[in-house]
Order: sequence, then structure tokens, then C-alpha cells
Amino acid sequence: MIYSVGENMYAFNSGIEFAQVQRTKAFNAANMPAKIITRQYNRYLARNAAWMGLQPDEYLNMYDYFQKVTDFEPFAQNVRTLAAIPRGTYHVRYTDNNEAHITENGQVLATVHLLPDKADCVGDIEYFNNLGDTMMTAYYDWRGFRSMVETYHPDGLVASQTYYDPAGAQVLAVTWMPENGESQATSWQLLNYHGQNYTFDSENQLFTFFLNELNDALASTFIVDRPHLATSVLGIDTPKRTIAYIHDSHLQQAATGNAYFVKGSYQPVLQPRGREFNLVAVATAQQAAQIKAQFPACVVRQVPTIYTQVVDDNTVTELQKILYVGRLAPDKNILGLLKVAAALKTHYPTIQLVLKGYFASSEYEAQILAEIQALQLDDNVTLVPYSVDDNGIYADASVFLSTSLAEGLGINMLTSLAHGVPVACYGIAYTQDNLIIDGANGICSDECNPQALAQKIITTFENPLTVMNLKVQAKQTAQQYQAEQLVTAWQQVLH
Amino acid sequence: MQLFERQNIAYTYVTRDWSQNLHQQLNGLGVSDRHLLNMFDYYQQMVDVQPNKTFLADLDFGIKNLRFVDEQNEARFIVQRNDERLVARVNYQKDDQHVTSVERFDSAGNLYAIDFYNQRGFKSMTQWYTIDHQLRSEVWYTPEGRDVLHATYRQSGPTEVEALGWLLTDPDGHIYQFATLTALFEHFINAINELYPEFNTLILDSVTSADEAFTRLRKPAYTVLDIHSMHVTDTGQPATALLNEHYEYALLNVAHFSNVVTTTSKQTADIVARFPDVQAATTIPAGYVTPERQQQPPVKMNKREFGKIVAIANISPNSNLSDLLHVIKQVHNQIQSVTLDIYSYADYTNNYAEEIKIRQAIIDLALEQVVQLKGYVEDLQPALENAQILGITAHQACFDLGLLEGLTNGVVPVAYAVDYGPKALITDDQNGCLIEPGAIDAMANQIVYLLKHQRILQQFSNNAYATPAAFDEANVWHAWANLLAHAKEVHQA
Repeated sequence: MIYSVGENMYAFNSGIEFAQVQRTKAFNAANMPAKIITRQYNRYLARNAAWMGLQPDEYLNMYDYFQKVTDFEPFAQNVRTLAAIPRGTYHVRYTDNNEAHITENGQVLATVHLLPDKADCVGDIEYFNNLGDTMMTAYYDWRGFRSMVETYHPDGLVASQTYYDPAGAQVLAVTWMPENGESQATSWQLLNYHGQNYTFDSENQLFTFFLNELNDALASTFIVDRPHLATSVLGIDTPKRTIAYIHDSHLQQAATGNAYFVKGSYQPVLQPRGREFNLVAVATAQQAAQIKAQFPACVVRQVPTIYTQVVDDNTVTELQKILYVGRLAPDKNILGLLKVAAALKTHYPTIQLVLKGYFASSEYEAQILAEIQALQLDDNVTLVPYSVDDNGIYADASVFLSTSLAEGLGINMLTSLAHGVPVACYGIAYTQDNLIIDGANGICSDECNPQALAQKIITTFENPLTVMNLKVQAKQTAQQYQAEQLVTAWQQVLH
Repeated sequence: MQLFERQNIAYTYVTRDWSQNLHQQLNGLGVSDRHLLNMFDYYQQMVDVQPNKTFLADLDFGIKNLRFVDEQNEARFIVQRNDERLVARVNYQKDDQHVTSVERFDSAGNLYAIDFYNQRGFKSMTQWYTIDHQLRSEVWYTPEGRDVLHATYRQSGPTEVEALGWLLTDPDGHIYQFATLTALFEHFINAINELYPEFNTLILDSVTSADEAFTRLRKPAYTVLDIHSMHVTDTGQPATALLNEHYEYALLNVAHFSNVVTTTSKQTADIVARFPDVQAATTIPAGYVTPERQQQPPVKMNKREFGKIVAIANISPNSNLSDLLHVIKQVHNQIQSVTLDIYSYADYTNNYAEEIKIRQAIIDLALEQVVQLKGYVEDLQPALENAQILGITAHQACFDLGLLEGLTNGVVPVAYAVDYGPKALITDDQNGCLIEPGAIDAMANQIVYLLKHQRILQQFSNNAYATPAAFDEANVWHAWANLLAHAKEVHQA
């Protein structure tokens, strides 16, 4: 089995989750059994995984595993039929689409929160004590069963989380204690797991135990896609192989000066204590060479992150709509996109910038919205919410714009190329002269400033033939990133 | 209960509170497990579970390479990791080191939970703690480890906690919420009343635990208000005196009870006279004497210790023992060899104020060599077979089990003539003596007279031995049987 080890499948996913999904599907299609492993508890996981196109046997969550629900058949647990509510004793008032109240003599004893996207289905139930404070919350999994119960300290901080199997037996008990005003999990107890209890000090210890259980059943290859999970993966005692995939730049510029050093988050990957990875994989030969130079003992290979499919849906050669698809986050430098748009607007007053994705935080969203106003781009910028399916949004795009200052490859750029939409970006490491070649399939500005990039875009679009040429080459680049190439490259490193 | 047990009738002794040693305690009182139904046992689905013990080796801490230190002085094992971090303290009972409780510590060294093991060999309840050692909740489990009952607490005083709510998952998976233990108990009473399909007879003994519940049962039953104590604050003014706080609610709602049981006919009459809504009233003595007990050979007065007086009374203001001390002082002035032994518990109210007062009175009256506080004694018979006179100076009393016990053993009671117990059980100048309440001199004189006239004392003692015939097992059972028959009639009517 080839496991791609990650954190979660979110409602809003980043390129890393898309890469895991593509890799796993490509492996399985090539008769290389593969699954995604996720560590975090997520009662919406089954829904999110389905959104990402995953079948239940293509992913495995640690909590699901211990709760014995990896193959649980989903059902709609309607609040009107929930057996836990004694309807002959209490009244149930269906307030609105979001919640229902369990009452006695007019007093609200408990509030049932309904699932946001599954009509009338139970999401969680908060039970109140005599003071009106929540004494217990029962969380229901999206698939319909009561999954986890939480209790609280007198100040309202979480005190315990108990996980159940669908039959109602406790399988995992986590104790929380306050520390510096926050609850910290201080004891993890796996209960009656194959007849025995196991106590852990942290979720990572539990995760290592879980990975070992999987590996004991079948010696496997583990590809870790999140650096903070590296230590747990290295804790597997006799794995067939451990691989760390680095999805972005492992380097960080010093606060003063031009020196680069390894990011703290990648130290467990590149400078682990004890066991080392059999292989470190990166998206570009350039990054592989850099790592090799700095860590000569490290076995490092370039292996594709992702594949794409060429779509002939775009013939635009005029500069009308600039597109960005991806996380709307500070590390993606969304402010830079706005500044480029503002610079373009002086020549193209009706220029459109479309930003599709989810904001990293509401604070960042507010900052971006304020900047749109400040730059007087209200009529020029359109925000499109995140969805898994991006098809259609490329059809009328003139150019894909990225002002990110660090990329491992640039998955979103690759997708754009596949639609024949050239990419305009800063000439940063691992992107320039790798995925994007200035004048061939895109527009790279050596200077990382908006004016320079805007000027290059303007110049390029002055000549439609140049643009048409970029479009052809963009598709040719995308042709190199096919599932077959990805599988072949992995087969070479997996032997 | 022992009577029902001996008569082998289909009764169930229902108790509310959780106790680690419930079954041992009640078995000791003669209640067999098959007749005992505790609310917690019921919801923990452990009514029919065989006794068992848990030992250290049975515990699974989930950690390898543990170290165990037996702290015998503390009756516990210390469980540590290799790096000396504390994992648990396992408290045991000294005789065979079976586990009674386990204090659990998290990875940061906080005591976060205490598991209590019952006498059936599994974890019955866990107390969960905050980081500063406050009890935050209690959770009760089934033998399979399902959590079925949760209570949440908050610290309400330096040493007190207050329950903030109860959450019950019943065997059908319904989740019920209760503000108080009393509300939970009401739910339980209704549940068991509905569980048994027949028309049940429900007898309410611990009245305030369920008096509200009994007045509004979901399914009809024959309900009995069993009054074990005085229902008024002054038995001399039964028509007008303030009601005993424990019975006030029940008596003001007495129309909702099928029957009211008291232990003396006078009390029954007083209640019927005061509360016209009483549906039916029955007198059933609180105690009874078994045939085996009655057939024991009497002990003659000359075989007993001359001048030995006993009192069987809680050391509480109600027992008015200071009057008895003054009586004994006067008797002692005339008969040097008189002694008084006081049996039973001391009342802890106001930090044992009454015991302190009585001990001071003994010193003030220079009776240190005469009076002894014996405390509670399991078997009083040896003491009673050695005593000549039983002294009672309470200003009011209910059916007095101590008095019945004294009569059964031929001890001659000398008591204030008060309702209800003394006047019901003592016939003056026959099986004892009744003295005007508060007449210390008269009581002292009477005791001196009896001690000086041992032949009369012997005659009274003979009569005392004969008294309990009215309270023999057959008669008392007959009274219950009548009540149960009435219940059946009411149902069929």
C-alpha cells in the first residue's frame, strides 16, 4: 500500500490536498494500491472527501479507524426521528433551518444544531445545566452517527472529548486541562483496542501508533505531504519506505540580509533526529539540486506533484480578464495582484481581475476588501467563492496572474496552462525556468514589483501573435504533466 | 424489610443514592440482592451482577514498563512510569488488597479522575476533576463501560459542591435531563412503576425524597405515606402544632396518598382528626419481635447488675438526656451503686453541640464515675440482659425501637408519659412507669423505689417480657397483610 499522509480533507482545500487526491487516484488506476491518510478529527470528512471525488476506500482517517467507521454507510439522521430525544417527555421546537430546541415546561434544555448542508439532519446537541451553561455537547458525524461527546470545565474550556463507535462504546478518551488560558490535551487513552488500553501523551504519539498498526498489517510506503507530520511517519518501525514530499520552498530568507536558511517547519524533514526519510521528493530539479547541495546525504528526487488535462476552451488574445485561482492568503501575496491590476487599469480602464478561492482569514479578507476600495478597483475586481470544480472560469481569461513570492511548483499555474491561458508571474525560484518560461508559455518579471510585471503584460498583449504563441506553448507545457508521467516518475523512485 | 423478607413476599426495596458498598450494607441489614433495587444500579444495568473483586493486576493503565510501589501504611499502590512520572494511585482494602479506587494522573501530572470500583468487580463511577482539584462531574458506567449517567458540579463553598444538572441515557437510548437528583428519582419511580405491569403498592419511607413524585405518578398505584417519626413539633398539641418539616408537604397533599401508616394508634388518630382528606389510615408498629426471640429464657432481676440503668437514645436535644442526668444524680445521692449507660449515636448537628453539652453536664454533676456514653453498639442484648431499668426523658417520641428492645429483654422502662411511643408501649405500674413530663424528682423517686423494691421490679420485668406479644411478627405482618389486601380492593373497585 502507498499511503499519502496528510492532515485533513477540508471544505476548502489547498493544492496539497489536490495533489494527494491526484496521486492516489493515479496510483490506483495504475494498479498501485494507494490511500490518503488524514490525522485530524473531522466529522465532515466523508462529505469533503466526496466533494474531492474520493471513494471511501481511497482515504483513511485515524479517528474513523479507531471508531470503526471507515466503511460506515452514510444515512440521514433526521432530527425528527432521533431516538435520543424522548418526545413523550419533552417538546421539540423546530426553530428554523439551523436549529431545534428541546424544551420542558417552556425551558430550553438542549439545542440541536442542524447540519448546514443536509436538511433537518442532526449536527450536534448542546445540553444545558441549571445555569444555562453547556454541560455536554454530542457531535454527530455527517454520516449520521453520534461520534464524539465533549464536556467542559466550570469556566467553559473543554475538559474531555470522548469518541464512540457506532454501537455506543467508548473507544478514545482525551482529557483536556487549561494551560495559559487555553485547553491542552494532556492524556489520550485508546480504550479496549483489541482488548487493551493504550495511553498516549499527545495526538502525535497516537498517530504514530496508528501508522504502525497500518504498517504492521501490511508493510507499506508512506509519503508525507505535511512537514509537521514527518516525525510521526519517521516513528514507523519497519516501513517499506518513507518519503517526504516538499510542496513549497524549504528555504526562508533571513530577516536581515540575503542569507537563506531552512524553514523551521522543514527541519523535521531535512534534519530529523534519529531516523531519516528514504527519499525526499520535490517538484523541480532546481529545488532538488539545492537540497542535495546543502544535505549531501539526503536522497532527493524530482517527482511531479500533480497532473493536468489539456482543455481547449480558450482563444482569448486580448487583455480583458485577469484570473487568479487559489488560496487568498498572505503567502500568496494577493495585495500584489491588486497592485498589478491597478497598474494595468491606467491603460485598460475596464480591465477585470477575477479572484477565485477562499480567504485564509476574515482579517485578511477585510484587508483585501479595503485595498480594493483604496485602489479604486471596485468595478474591476470580482471575487468568486471556492469550489472544487474550476472548469469554465478559464474560458474567457486573458492571462493567469500570480504574484506569489515562493512556490514549490505552482499547481494553480499549471491548471491555467492546460487551458492555454498564459501565466504572468514574478520570476521566483522553482517557478521561473521550470513551469513558467518567460516569453515561451508565460510572462516572468525579474523584478518582483507590480509596475514591472504590469508593463510586461501590456507589452506582451500589444502583439496578438505573441499571445497566440504563448497559448500554444502553455498547452505544450501542460502536456508534460500527465498522469502517465507522474506514475512513471513515482514508479522509478519506488522501484 | 426484614419482615417482608421473612414473609417471602414480592417486595422491592428501592433506594436512591449511589454507594460503593451498597449491597454489602443492605445485605447486612437483612435485605437480599434480589429484593434490592437501587436507582443507580438500575440505570447502570447492574441489578443482576455477581459480586467480584478487582485487583491491581486487573487494571490496564495502557502504558508499558510501569513501576509499582506498595505503600501499605496508606493502603495504596503508587504506579509510576520509568521516568518516575505518576500514573495512578491505586487505593485498596487492607485485608486482601482488592481495589477500591484509582486516582489517575495525566501526562502533566494533574490528578484528573478518580475511578471507584464497586463490589462487583468493575468501575462503577468516575469523578472528574479540574486542574485545581474541584469536582466537576461524576459519570456512572454499565458493566460494559458505557457512560449512562452524568452529573455536573460546581464548587459552592470551601468543602461543598452543588450539582448543576443530571443527564441520563436510559436503556432505550433516550437522553433525559434533570435539574436535581430528586427530579431524576421521580423519573425512576415512574419508570419502575410502569416497568411492573401489575397495580403496584408504593410505600414512601424517606418522605421528602419523593413526596412530590408520589402525588403525581404517571401510572396509578396504591401509595402509602409511611410516617416513622412525629408528624408535629409538639405531640401534646396534635391539632394545632406546627408540622414536622419532613411531613408538611406530604400531609398537606395527603389526598393523593392511598393510605397513611403510622406506628401508634394515637398518632393515626391525631392525623385523621387533623386532615379530613386522609383516604385511609393504618397503624403498624415500626418494630416486631420474632417468635425465636420471644422464646428465649428470661433473665431474672437478681442475675442483673444492681442499679444498672440504660438509655437507648441518640444524643440529641430531642432525647432530652440532661433531664435523665439530673434524675440519675438524685438517685445516686441515695443509692451509690447506680450507673447509667447511654447507647446510640451522637447527633452531629452544630458540630456535636448536644454531645458536648451532655459531657459537660456529666462533669458538672460529678457523674463521671456513674454515667458512660457507649456509642452505637451492634448487639444490645448483652447490655440489656444486664440492666434493670430503661430511662426515657424525651418530651415526645415516636414508636421507640429501643424501648421495644428493652421490653423484649425484660428491662423495666421508666419514662415521661408522652406521645407516642412511651404511652403506647408502657402501661403505668404494669410493665413500667410513666412519669409526668419534666417531673425529675418524681422520676428519681420512682427509680429509687423500684431499685429498693426488687420484687416489684421483678414483677414489672415479667410484664415487660410479656408486652411484645402485641408486636410479635404475626401481628405486625397481619397489619401489613391487611394493608396489601386493601390495596388490591382499591384497585379492583
